[in-house]
Amino acid sequence: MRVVAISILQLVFIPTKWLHTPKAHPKRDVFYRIDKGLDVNTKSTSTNSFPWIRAMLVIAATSSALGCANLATNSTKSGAKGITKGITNEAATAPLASTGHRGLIDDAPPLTADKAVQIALINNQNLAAVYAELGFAKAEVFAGARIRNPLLSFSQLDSNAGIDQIVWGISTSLTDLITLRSRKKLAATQALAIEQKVQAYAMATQALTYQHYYQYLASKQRLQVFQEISAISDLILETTQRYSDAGNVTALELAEAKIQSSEAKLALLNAQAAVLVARTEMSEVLGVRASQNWQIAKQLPIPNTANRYSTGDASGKIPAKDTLVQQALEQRLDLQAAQTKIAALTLKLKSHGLENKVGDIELGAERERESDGERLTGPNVEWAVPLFSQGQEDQLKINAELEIAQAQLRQLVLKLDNGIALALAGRENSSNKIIQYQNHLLPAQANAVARTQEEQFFMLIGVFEVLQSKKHQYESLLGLVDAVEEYWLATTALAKAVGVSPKVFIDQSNNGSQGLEDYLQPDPGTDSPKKSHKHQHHGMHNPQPRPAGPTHAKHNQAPDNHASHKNHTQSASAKP
Amino acid sequence: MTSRRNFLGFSGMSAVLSTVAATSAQAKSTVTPETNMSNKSNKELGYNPVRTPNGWTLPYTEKDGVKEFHLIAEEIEHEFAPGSTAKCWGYNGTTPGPTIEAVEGDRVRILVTNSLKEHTTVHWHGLILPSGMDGVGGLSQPQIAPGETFAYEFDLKQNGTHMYHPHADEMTQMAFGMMGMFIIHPKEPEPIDRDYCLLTHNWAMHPGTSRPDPSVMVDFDLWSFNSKVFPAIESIVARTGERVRIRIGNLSMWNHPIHLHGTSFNVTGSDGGRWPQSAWRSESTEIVGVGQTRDIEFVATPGDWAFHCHMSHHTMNAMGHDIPNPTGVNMRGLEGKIRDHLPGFIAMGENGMAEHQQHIDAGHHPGPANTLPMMTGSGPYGPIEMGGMFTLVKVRDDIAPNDFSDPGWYNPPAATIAKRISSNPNYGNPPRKPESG
Repeated sequence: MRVVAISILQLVFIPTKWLHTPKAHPKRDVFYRIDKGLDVNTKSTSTNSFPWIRAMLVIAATSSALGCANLATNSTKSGAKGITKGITNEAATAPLASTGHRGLIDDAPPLTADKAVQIALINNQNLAAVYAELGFAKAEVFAGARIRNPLLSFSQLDSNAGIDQIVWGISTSLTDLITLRSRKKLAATQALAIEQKVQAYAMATQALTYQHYYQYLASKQRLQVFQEISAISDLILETTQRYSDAGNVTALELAEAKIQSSEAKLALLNAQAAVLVARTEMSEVLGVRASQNWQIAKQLPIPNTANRYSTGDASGKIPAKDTLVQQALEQRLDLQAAQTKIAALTLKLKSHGLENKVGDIELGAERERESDGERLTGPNVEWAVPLFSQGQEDQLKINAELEIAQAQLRQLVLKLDNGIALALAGRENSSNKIIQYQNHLLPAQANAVARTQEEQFFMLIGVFEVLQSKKHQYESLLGLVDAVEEYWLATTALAKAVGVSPKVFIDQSNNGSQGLEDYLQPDPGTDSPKKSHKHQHHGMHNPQPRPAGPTHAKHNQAPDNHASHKNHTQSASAKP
Repeated sequence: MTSRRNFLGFSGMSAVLSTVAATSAQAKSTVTPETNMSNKSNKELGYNPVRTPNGWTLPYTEKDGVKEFHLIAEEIEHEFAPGSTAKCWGYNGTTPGPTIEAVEGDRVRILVTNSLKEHTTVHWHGLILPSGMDGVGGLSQPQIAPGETFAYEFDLKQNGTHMYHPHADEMTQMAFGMMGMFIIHPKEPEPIDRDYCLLTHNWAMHPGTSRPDPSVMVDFDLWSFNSKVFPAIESIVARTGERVRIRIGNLSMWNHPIHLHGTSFNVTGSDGGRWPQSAWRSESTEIVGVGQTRDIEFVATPGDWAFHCHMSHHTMNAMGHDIPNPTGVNMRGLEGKIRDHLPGFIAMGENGMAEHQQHIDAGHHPGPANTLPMMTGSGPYGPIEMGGMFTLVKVRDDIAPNDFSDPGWYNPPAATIAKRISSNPNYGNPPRKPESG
């Protein structure tokens, strides 16, 4: 019996010892590195009090996951590993540990997408909640590696013969011992599933951050365009009012200008609201308050569409859809988590089957002092004979869970396939839109504005046509912003679908990129201001009196304040 | 009537084709507006030849007592004035086509070769001739198909100022510039020292385009004398005291009140020839209706005199017809805001449009390609602010006979120039009409 008791104590402490023994598997390594950094008994308070520690751990976990989750081609693998390394290095930098996220948020330079990801991994509360599920993983491991505590019993029975009857007993579950190996395996698998789920969620948070980053940026850029549209609509109204004051336009024309201005203001208000919504949504992803003093870049980068297929692999092309799907199947962490969950449920089913077939067996020892002083000592066995029930109800529940998990896995694979196809198509479509805007529509709009201005200068059309032409140019920019946003969202979706960081695609697309500002600035080549002439008040000055009398003989040009600029004018006596 | 079939049968196909080829090549290679095809003196000619400013006179050959002319209808590159050229249609390389001159009683044969890609005809506007020679396609003759040459032959039974133009797809072909003057001198010489002819026309040369638009009916962009617009129209030059005749034909789609400054001219003739003196009218402006011709005569007095259509917008080049009226519009403080969006923007016209030419001349901003500014031209005292159907009659004391070169600006006696006596806007006390009541 002493031997048995020692063995039980040893078994009780095995889990802790096991937890402190790193395994060779890299994911296990990550997982247990996480646990090594925590006091098991005070885990909860530790993680809540020091979120950056959790962040570092999640980043580390994510980085490791990224390390696994890169495109399969050799060159891409190396590229992705480089990116992963970069993220890991960034995550390990001092500001995270020393000053926390406020150092990255408040009064900091505008956030890049990468910085935003770092902050989200630190502060995102959904991620924090998912991370807390690691506690379940540990609990599973504890539970799996444990047998029930031995049961000590004592009874003292009063005897009318003078000596009380005293009974000492100890018992423990033999079934626990028999199923310990399979339960440990099950617990480890369940823990792995949770770990993969956490990693997958961290990946998803990364993609979500990129998504909201671009949505917020796009909303800001739209606001900028709407500000220009509103400004020029106001100019149209103000100009119409001036024409009205001079008695040169009708009340109808003035009313129409007011409508135009008001509609532009309403659109501007909508755009302002959209920015607020986008900022709020992004702040929730970042886990910070929207009212905090944080900013993101001002410019929505316009991707270099010439590199839109480039991923840094040798061919410069994104692998074909089937290849991407295959890679996603191999490396998507949520997929792995779903597969592990199925494995765990399969194990659970098997483990329950064994337990139910064996039935609950209790082994023990008992020492009894009879009322007559006789002492009895011996083992005892209790066995719940699985005669009437073999745990079918549990089996059915686990089976159902297994079927659900398998269906969910199939759905995930289907979504993965469709998601990659849709993201590729969206990327291609938006890329073509950008090309259409950049190479055709916007140059044509700029050209139209310039030509309109030429016509206005020759008094062939009026100021209103020029202003409307410029307004149309601004309105076209809204389409460009939409297309660029679509491109980045599709790129982010593609990365998410394949199971890699958006950085893998985004860095390549950004090479040589332009920003919207390039289009908001008047094109000096087409609008062609003549900067050498100061026209603060054109149309208001009186021509200088000219000297009386001819000063030029044959074919000479007239004295003119702008004589040096003459280019069109011919002498009245010019010959063909 | 000489049908195309009969003509070909008479002349032979090969002869016609070789003539077409030779004539076409000649038109493109040697003909210039300055070409004076006749080496004959006025006495030998029996008349004082007309001068077509910016144009030329078609030479002829005499064959068996018939004066034979050869026109070729073709697409040409035409310049209205430096800065505006267009693909036009004309005759023998120009629009208007060369002026045809002959004498009353002459028998003329006019060969017409069609080098266009559609058929054409030539109508001899105002001439008394056989019906089959009248040139109305489908009515008086079959159309002249591309590549064909037709011969018109008839006696000149009248004298006066006449015109020629197509009568096949007339609207299009005339809109593209197919027209010319046909001057028939009387048998007896007239006491005219200098005889000019001008053909008025309008062009839908939309700003920025390079081919006239034949579908336009009223909103024309350019108004021309001999297919040129100011300031590219040659001046009418004369010596003081000379008797000058200006023959004006109108093949445009508007009537033109033609006004000559500085003199009172007589309206002396039309396509009916020179009127009896009793029928002359003294005018300073004479309306030349669509399809009409008018001759005016005057004795030249020294100076630079404006000569133009008095429809004000006919003396403008390309201009907006429905731009918002800028006059009286105060754009102070607003112009700069607009310029923030549209660099180079210039608000014009608060106090009138005179400043337009100043901006143009200063080169402040380019205009549309191939487009002439609304108002242009500079004289000795500043911008002339004209365009279209505007030119000058330049009379000097020392112009030699047959010298048509531009004498430059007139230098008037100092006492005869308007001069500034004050720059004070409140100067003097000009009477204004008292308010009634």
